[in-house]
Amino acid sequence: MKITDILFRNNKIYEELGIDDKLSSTGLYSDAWKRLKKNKAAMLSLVIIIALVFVAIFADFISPYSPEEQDLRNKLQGPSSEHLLGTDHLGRDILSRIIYGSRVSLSVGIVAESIAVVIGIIMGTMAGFYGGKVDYLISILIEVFASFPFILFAIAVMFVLGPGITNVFIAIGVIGWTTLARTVRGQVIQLKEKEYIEAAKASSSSSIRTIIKHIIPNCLSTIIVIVTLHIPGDIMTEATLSFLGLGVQPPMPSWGEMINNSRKFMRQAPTYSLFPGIAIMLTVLSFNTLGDGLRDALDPRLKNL
Amino acid sequence: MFKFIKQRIFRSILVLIGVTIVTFTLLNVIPGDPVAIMLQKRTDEETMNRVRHELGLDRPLHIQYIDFLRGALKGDLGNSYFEKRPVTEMIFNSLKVTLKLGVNVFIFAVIFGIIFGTLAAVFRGTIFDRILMFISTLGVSAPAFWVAVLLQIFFGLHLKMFPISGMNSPNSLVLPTISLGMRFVASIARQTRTYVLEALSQDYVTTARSKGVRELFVICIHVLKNASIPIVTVLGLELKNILGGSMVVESVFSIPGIGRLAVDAIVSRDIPVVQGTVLFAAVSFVIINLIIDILYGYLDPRIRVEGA
Repeated sequence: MKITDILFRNNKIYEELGIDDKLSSTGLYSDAWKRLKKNKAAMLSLVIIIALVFVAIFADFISPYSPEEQDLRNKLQGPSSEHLLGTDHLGRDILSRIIYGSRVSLSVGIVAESIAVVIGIIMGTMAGFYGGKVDYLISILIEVFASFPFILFAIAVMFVLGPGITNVFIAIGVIGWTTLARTVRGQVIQLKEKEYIEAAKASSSSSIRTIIKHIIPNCLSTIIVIVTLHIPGDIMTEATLSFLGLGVQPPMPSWGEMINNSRKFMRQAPTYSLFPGIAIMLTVLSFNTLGDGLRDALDPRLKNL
Repeated sequence: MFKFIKQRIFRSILVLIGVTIVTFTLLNVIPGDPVAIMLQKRTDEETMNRVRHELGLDRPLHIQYIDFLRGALKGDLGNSYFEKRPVTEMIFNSLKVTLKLGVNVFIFAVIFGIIFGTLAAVFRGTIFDRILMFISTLGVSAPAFWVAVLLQIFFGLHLKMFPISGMNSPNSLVLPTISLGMRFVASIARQTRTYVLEALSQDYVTTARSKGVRELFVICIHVLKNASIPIVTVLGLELKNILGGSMVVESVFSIPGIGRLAVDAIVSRDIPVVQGTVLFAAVSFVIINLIIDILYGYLDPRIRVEGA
């Protein structure tokens, strides 16, 4: 009997038993996608994130008002049919500002995290692949950067660079690579022992080629999980920086900056601070849940991250 | 064990040297000219040169660094540009306040986090578990400064139950503790749940149950004791975040702690104070980490062997 017959027969048995997990597995990512699809919370989060990206891209068409349009006669209004979420202290429409604020949050999540990923992968693979002194040195460097409380370090970097969204990207990216580097390092050390890496080495594949062709693709699932779980932290850091007045500068709308402004008008407009905070919470929650789902689907060993 | 401790301490010293280099470089090299930042370029070149000389900033950088390091070792972090007081003194005065808040938050987070996490694990899969975990997911996702503002509006302005700023009454730490502690309760609960679930499936739990040990004792003695090792690490990591988180919450509630000191110093561009607080926070974290690692090595012999 040929092996394909056995596989085929097994499939039939599975069908008869009503099990849809056929042996026709097509690879890590399609398997993971199948598992992820069963996770309702993660799928809902994915939908919310896609919707958010959509809102950010098409803000010009969706937003009912311009985010910077002031109407001083109608300031600090509560929610109404004209302004669904009310108006702020300059009479600007809060909903429109939240819609435009999503651009800041998402771009911080994407750009800052990309910077962190590049640094993290380079550092992590170098430490894990070369071992010895290089590893020791990079590990110390990781520990040094991880020793600063993230937000304090970010604030100090913003202090040096000055406020503005580009500097927020740089500050978060330059600080946020340590967890990724540490995990990639651990993975590379494990992978190095694998036969196919030895085979690559034996067939005189250069270090760089081995790293790019064999090591990084095998760390990819871990990297995806960590990145998804890091984005909410980056969004939160941006919100905090803008809340402290060190991040995005007015009149560009940012959720953190909106909450900061709302503080001065707590008495007059108690709902002002509510909505930007919900926006942050919903975004962070969605990324966290999707990250958890991806982790369970791709690599359950990462449970403790 | 001794070898492990020795290696770990050596490593920490290297990390501490790295921390001083990064702090020094960040605030002295990259911006180019601390004096220009301090005076915000409002004065002429001559005054800037004079100030630069007075502060010793016209010397070569490596000499400045060595001086900075030598001072830091002696506990001298220079003087504040504006208050003319030693930075160390300012840090210690505000540290007392931050520690008070930190201890409150820590106790609040540990007690509620471990209770909720254990309950969720014991009743796993039930609606109770789901509700607890959903609330904790919300808690992890809500920014502390936002929770702080909401608490101020509701409990401070609306119900007038607690003061919304300052440190004058015994109740003044209640709202800061809740707003800062909420996310730590949530994250400790999530972690505790995971580790308790893991411990619950071990053979010794089955053995204890089959011996007729009462469930409460099984949980308290066997499960929690074994789940305590990873929980200790989580607590150590959270300690750093509590320190970081206090920065923002202190600003919101006008509490004169380290966080407020740092934020104020940044706004007023008082470089020695910024440098001092950043260095202080990082050094405390390295030391906390060292203690945790040694504690961890003591609790779990496998780590000692791996580390050595």
